[in-house]
Amino acid sequence: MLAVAWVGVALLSFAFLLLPIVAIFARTSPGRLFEQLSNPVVRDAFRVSIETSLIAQALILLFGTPTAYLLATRRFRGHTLAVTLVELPLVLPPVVAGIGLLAAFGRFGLLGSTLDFFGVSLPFTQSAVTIAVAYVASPLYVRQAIAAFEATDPTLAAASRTLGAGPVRTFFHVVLPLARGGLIAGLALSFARGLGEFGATIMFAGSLQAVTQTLPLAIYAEFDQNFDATLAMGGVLVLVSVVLLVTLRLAVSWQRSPSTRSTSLFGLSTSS
Amino acid sequence: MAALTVDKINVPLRAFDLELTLEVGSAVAVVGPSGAGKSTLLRAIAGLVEPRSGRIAVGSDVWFDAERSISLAPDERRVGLVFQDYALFPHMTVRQNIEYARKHRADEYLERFRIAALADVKPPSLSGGERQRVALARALARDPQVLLLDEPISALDAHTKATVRAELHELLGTLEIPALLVTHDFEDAAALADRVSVVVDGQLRQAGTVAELVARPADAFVASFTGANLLHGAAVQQANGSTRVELADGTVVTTADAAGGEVVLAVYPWDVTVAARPPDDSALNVIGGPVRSVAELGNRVRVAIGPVTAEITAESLGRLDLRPGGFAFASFKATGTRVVSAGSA
Amino acid sequence: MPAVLAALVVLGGAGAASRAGLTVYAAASLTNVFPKIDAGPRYSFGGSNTLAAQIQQGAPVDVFASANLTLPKQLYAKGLCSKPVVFTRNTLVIVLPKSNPASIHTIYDLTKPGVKLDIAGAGVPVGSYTLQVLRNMNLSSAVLKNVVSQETDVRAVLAKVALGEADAGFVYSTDARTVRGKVVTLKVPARGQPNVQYGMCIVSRSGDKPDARSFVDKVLSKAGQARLLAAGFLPRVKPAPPKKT
Repeated sequence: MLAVAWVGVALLSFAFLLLPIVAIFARTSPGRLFEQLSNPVVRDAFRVSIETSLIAQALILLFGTPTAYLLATRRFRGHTLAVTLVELPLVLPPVVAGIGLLAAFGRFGLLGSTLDFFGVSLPFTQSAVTIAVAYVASPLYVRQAIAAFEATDPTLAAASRTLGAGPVRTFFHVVLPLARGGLIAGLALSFARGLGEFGATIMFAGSLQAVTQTLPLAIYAEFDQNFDATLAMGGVLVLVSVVLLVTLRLAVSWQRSPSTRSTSLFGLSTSS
Repeated sequence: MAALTVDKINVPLRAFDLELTLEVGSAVAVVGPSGAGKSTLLRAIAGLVEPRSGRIAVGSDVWFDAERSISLAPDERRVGLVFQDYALFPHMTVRQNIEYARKHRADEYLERFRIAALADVKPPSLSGGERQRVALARALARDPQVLLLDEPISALDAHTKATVRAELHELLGTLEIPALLVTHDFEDAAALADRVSVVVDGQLRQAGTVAELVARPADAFVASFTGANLLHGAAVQQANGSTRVELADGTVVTTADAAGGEVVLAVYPWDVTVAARPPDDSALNVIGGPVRSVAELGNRVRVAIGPVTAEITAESLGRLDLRPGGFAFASFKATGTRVVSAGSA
Repeated sequence: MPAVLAALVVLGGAGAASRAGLTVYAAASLTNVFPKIDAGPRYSFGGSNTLAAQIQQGAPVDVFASANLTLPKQLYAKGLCSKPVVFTRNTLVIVLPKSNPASIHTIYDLTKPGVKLDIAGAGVPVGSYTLQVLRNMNLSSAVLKNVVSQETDVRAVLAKVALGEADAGFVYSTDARTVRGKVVTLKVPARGQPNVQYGMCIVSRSGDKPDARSFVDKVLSKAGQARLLAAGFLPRVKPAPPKKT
């Protein structure tokens, strides 16, 4: 009896989670959804989302990886504070992040006049979208990257140094390959977060078709005008999310595979 | 051979400071209980840890000198360090591991360490003994000026240990560079090195040959730590299961352990009884010899008689009236000996 | 704000009848004045188009007060609410940051290259009024090329201008008054002004029609209308031009 109830609860949970996603595709005929893919609003939103997300993720990788490596391998005074700072955007409501970005980089923000001096104006530009996305999504990557680097055996890096490899060679040939799975998982998470970003974007970058209107922004703008377009964009986001989730799963199993731990003692051979 | 000099280095550790001075000419073992700072010593020599003061040099190459502010990075020192768990790169094949240390010469080392068949295998699939060989090959492929070994055989099971010990001993003999190995097992140290230093809580307690440490331990700790007499001889198995070992000087010792070929027997001093006259019991091993030294350690006395050192109470010493130059008989049971190292049979 | 509305739609499914008090969805420009007319109801302010869409999706609302007549009429045509009644009117103005960084002095200055103009989306009443203004003045293409963002409600436009991020924005005159110290207001020429009429209706799904009715009456009463006028709204009925005698 208990077993039935237990399974029943689980099934209910699955249904709850699955229903909204299925409904997106079931609400209108596939034909009309496909039609929407040639709707300029949908296509522009898709392009803006992809461009800004890709650039944002590249920035996150470039800046986040060394930061994560530093935090994972060095202990210094203020280490806990540093980690908290890096995680801060995670707990900040996105809209507040947007306000913060305006307060920092807006025309009359803290760095406003400095940017102005260099002829740079950020609000209402596609760069602003990229920055907003990078800001809210980076902690997801950095946190995962720190964990991935911490999970790699420090003795291996030490061994690499004694074998004549400098810090750079050690990082790229020993640490990175071993942490790769976790890094990819982090990237998938931050990509997903970035794609769905709304509050900070609309605050800092505004919403203009083909310039700053990402998929989530377009969904919100269109939903009272053209529900089919909204469903189509929702569908696109669902599909991308699924791909990212699969990537995440594969990457996580990569990280956990036996090749990431240093060889175990007593000749135990671990199965791959 | 350029010697490794470790001069008054000081490395602060959690509970104490490691303060050490030693000179490594050929193969030296540093022994001590776990946590004595032995691994830290190796890391300091390799450059993974920076001492607060002191000097580390190989021949005329100075690797570390606190006064002159010299501190070479690990990759700038030609050092070969075999880690306790071997630290083989799990994502690379054996060949790639070796090539990491030195390109183009992998085959040479694969041959030399008899691991050519494992060239394309990745470390997680190797046995403990195989991994140790790869680690050695990799460290030596670096063409180091010094070879450092951290508990080289502690991680192996008892059976593999014996074979590997012999192989390692042979290898260390052929090396033309100083080798420093650390272990918590005195017998491993004795089997592999010529000179042994005992380090406890970061301080050197005693350094010398094995025989010196056993015969004249500097203090009670060294005594209990080093303990065993090690007797080398040729063993022949007997019909009744015991083994007859003929020592270098002709003395015959019977041991309860089964063995054959060249062996090393361990006899603990406290298992040895001393008498002025040979005991009557035929079941005992008896070694008669000159009393070479008498060392008093509080209530216990270490007496070296011929090849064997016995530990007796101060009271017995008085009763037997033993003196260097005199003659006495050391006896011990066949069960009181252990075969600790079988040579390649 | 959008998150709050979305949450309401999802969680508020269980009948409004079981909740005490009214729920009123009202245009963002009514944020300050409606609570002064009646502090009782639960208000949700936002772009009227967003609110209407949520009512269409079944949001449990009692009264809908829109910044135009079009939206309530659409709902009425679908049987989702009662016949709408005009309860107030408004005018459009141009707001500029206090420092006027782009040196805008007339509506024509909005055509200057590089001006950052913020308006509401076309579906939002104030957005559609803005487009009407520009059409009336024949300035559509010249000014629209300077649009940098299309916000989801009028208060967002106001905020961006008040913060100084946008060079100019179109909002209602009543909104400009709420941030008097922070913005400069430019009148829109009379011939450009659209006829801004706010319409209100009682949502059919309402579980408390009598109270909804009294709320509507309160807004239409002398006291309610006085509050609206005090806030800068225009009388609900355009005064007839004085007869020439």
